[in-house]
Amino acid sequence: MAVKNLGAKWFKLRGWKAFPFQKEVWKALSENKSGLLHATTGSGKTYAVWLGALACWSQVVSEQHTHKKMLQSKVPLTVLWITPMRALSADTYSALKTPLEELKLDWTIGIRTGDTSSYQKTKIINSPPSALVTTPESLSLLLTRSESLNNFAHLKLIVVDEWHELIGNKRGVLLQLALARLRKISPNVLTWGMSATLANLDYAFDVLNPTSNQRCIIQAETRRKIVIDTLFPDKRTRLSYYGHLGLMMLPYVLQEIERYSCSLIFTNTRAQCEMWYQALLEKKPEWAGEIALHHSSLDADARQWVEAAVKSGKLRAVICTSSLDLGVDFSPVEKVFQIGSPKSLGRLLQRAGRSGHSPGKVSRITIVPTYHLEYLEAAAVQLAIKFNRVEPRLSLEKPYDVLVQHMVSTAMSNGFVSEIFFQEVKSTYAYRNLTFAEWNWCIDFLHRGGDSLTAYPEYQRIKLDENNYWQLANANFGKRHLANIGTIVSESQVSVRYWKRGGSKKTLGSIEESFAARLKPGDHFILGGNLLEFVKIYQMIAYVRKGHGKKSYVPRWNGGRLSLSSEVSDAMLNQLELATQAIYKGPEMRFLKALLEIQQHVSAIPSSDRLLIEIWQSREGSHAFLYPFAGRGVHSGLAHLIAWRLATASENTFAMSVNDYGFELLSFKTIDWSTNITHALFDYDDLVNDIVSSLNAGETAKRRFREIAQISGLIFSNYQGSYKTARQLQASSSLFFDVFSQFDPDNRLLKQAEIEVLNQELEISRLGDALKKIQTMSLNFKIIQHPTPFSFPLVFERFQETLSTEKLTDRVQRMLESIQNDYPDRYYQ
Amino acid sequence: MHFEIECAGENILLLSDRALYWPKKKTLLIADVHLGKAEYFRKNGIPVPVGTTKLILFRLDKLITQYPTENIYFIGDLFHNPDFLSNELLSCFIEWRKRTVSVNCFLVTGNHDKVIDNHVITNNLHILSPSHHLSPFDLTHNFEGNSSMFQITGHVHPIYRLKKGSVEKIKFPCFVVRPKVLILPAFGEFVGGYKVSPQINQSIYLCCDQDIIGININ
Repeated sequence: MAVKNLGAKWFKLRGWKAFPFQKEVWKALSENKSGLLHATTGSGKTYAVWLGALACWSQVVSEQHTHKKMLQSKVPLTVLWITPMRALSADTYSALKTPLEELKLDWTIGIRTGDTSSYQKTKIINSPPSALVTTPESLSLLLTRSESLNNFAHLKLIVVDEWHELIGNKRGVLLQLALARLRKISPNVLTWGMSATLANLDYAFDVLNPTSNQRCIIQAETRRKIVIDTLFPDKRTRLSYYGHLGLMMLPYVLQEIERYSCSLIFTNTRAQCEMWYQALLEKKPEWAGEIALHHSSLDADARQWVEAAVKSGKLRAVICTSSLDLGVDFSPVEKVFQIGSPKSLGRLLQRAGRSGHSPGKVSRITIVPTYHLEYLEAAAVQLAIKFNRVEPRLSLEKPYDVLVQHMVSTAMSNGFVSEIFFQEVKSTYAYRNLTFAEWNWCIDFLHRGGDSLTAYPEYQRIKLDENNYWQLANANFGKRHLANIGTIVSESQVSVRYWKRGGSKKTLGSIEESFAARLKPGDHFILGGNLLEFVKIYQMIAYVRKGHGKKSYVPRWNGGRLSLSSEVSDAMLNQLELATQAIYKGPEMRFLKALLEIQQHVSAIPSSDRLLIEIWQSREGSHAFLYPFAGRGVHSGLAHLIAWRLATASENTFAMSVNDYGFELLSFKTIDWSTNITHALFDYDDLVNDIVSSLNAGETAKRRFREIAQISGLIFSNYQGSYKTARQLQASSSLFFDVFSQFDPDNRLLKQAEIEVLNQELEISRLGDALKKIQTMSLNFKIIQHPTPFSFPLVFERFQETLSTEKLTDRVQRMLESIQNDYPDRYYQ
Repeated sequence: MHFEIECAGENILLLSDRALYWPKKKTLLIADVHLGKAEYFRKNGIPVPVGTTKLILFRLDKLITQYPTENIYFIGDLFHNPDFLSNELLSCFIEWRKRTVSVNCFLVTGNHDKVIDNHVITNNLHILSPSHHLSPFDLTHNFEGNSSMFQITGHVHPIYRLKKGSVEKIKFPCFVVRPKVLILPAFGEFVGGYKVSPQINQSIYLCCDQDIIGININ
């Protein structure tokens, strides 16, 4: 028996009033509809869906039942609540629990994430709670256990929180596959998505509910006020021409922090996070204990402590990375800072939403540019948000690596029948266009390593049993598979512990193996704000003791780099257009006025009808800087394309560097750019062919292959306790890339790497648009004596790559000759 | 093709195909072939394409025809994992030995093939102790500090990363030559490497396509 008006009842009990959108969700759920709820953060999305579900399927415990009895209730698993982050899941868990207790309902609730103890994990499988909060990865793990499949048979509702965070990446694809699985087990299950920052609602609904024929999209009208501004230094501070740390802005950020009771300071990388924390403490030692840092390489305990401390208002400021991006309800936070470029509007809005996190309050975010060009970005971002131009997020198209992983997971649980499972996979949005031939390649890949012509002897991951079910072939492999499920790819990590006789159990956090390998005993590094002295590394654990002294390293963690969205870059170009007419609107542009005038004087301001090409001859070689303002991805594609076309015309080697505003080509041989760069170079025809050829010469596809190799189980980052035997099974993804390219060039995983580079990194469709646009622009060559304000950041950009068509020996000789010039005391032959 | 150097008074050729040739004794010296690595990966559910074993044996054939060879010394790690020798690998190996029956093959055992009890292999190879004296050289898989002889070793898979500025980087397998040591690059396919650099008293020789390029610091 459903409870009538349960939501309204509980709201009354709490003295709240339900928003219209909440009532709408309750109604839709009672009518058995799947849906998508779009409302700003902190407006009460969770209770809209949760109370709706409780009203439909829960019961009030009758008087005679004791409280104890209630806890032992046997309501089967009814609601699955999926959150994209562990930090968020604990929060969601307690939010969901409150009405259960206050209304004395017969439901229990559980939580299962990577941080859950193995005792709890087993308990969840043996006696599942009525509602389970989990992450996409944990859900995939649950689906590998045949016992837990039965648990899902009574599932009524799946809720996907922060759907925008998952829709555009491989985690989302993994979730789509898991949802298809669940729909098979419990055919009438409803699916609800929740989000605060989505531009394409119909699309987002379809990806989540590909089988639903009517779209139920509920959009809250409550629009929270977001105040975005930019932090300026005083006139005496000279901003650097490049730079990613932005520490010269520290004094101004300090002043701001003092004005608010609690602030979050977002940095774009973990290393930056550590450095800002150190710098803050150095300036304000009396704040020790009042400020903290939070990033994903810290130990779970440390992270949870920080989260709890923010919630209870104990901290003045937290320096954090995207690990605190999402939903956590930090009511005390009054102010958010974004150090450096926010890269996308969606992300900025998301972060802004961390402050003033309750209905009716104002969210405040201040952008803290780390170098001059980011003021331009700050101005552009504000303009774009004013016109509400948030980037749409699109699902990936049939990535083979995720599919292969899911197939192994499914083979592990109960096995699958090829044709039936194919239909199930095809019912997801991401794989709707999967062909049976592609499907069979995946089966062959798991069964024999490739299609039948190049079948690999001995190799087998799945095998066909007598009932025509594909089953896991080797239990050992299954263990490795479980330890590596998921699509978040990271370098293999080394955990960090204090060195103690008998061994310390307490983990401080983790660093990447490649960083750990470079440390010598006695070296100092910083982790979680602690200065640590490296003692030794043993069985994938780096032992440390408390450090003393000054000089220390900051670990480098390799994370993804985001490209500027076209929404932001278009807005930037608009601002520059105005600047060429000497119109400077807004504080950011007025701040940049002097600098842009210098740029105008020594070169020109990039504009949308003249493509600025700066030419510079340095000791290194001939540089050309081009500024199409099309985002990092497109520039990387353009740089590859142009370098390739130039190098095929005459043998040469180019180095490239790119950022969101433009790119640099560096020829080590002297080259006359003004005669070599013509409109023909930007020709649209043969784009795909030329790009693919250029990729083979570059390193991009190889880099991309790393992720694919890990997701599809070619390499394992996590060997769980079998370090010694694992040694003989280690090979880097680049070795795999080479061996595939040479011996199995038609391997679809290689093809996938190519496609991913084309679509995701180089953004081929945007690249095509950029080429067409350049055809309409005139080429504006400027010879410069020194790097200009616009080219300086490119000279210092660390992401650099080379593309070469020279004969290897010639190239080596040329490199050696120049080394000899640099160091005349070296002899070579 | 090759580059001639003098070690312990003997003329030795460094071959661009990652092997040493000692003309006086008509002997090839080869380290870290890691035969069966791909098979071992496949056995463990990791798909490595077929072809690396055949390519390795083909490269050996080529060397034997190019350089008149009576002996081949494998200086350790001929096999990646002697406990997992697949039938395919063994039959390839036997076939190769049939083709090269006139050549004496020796194996100085290394860390990967410490114990070999497979008859197919022991019937076709002379298994030597981990440190074999072949005057005037000591052949050991891994460098030993206390030897007074000129050592020829493998084990570390040396590679050199040629770098110009911060931008251009290429990796090469290489030979490392010190006053009383010569370290061979790994001969095998699908093997990684350890970065080395030229130092005083340590020259390196890059295997670059068909050429050997030496780098010294004087």
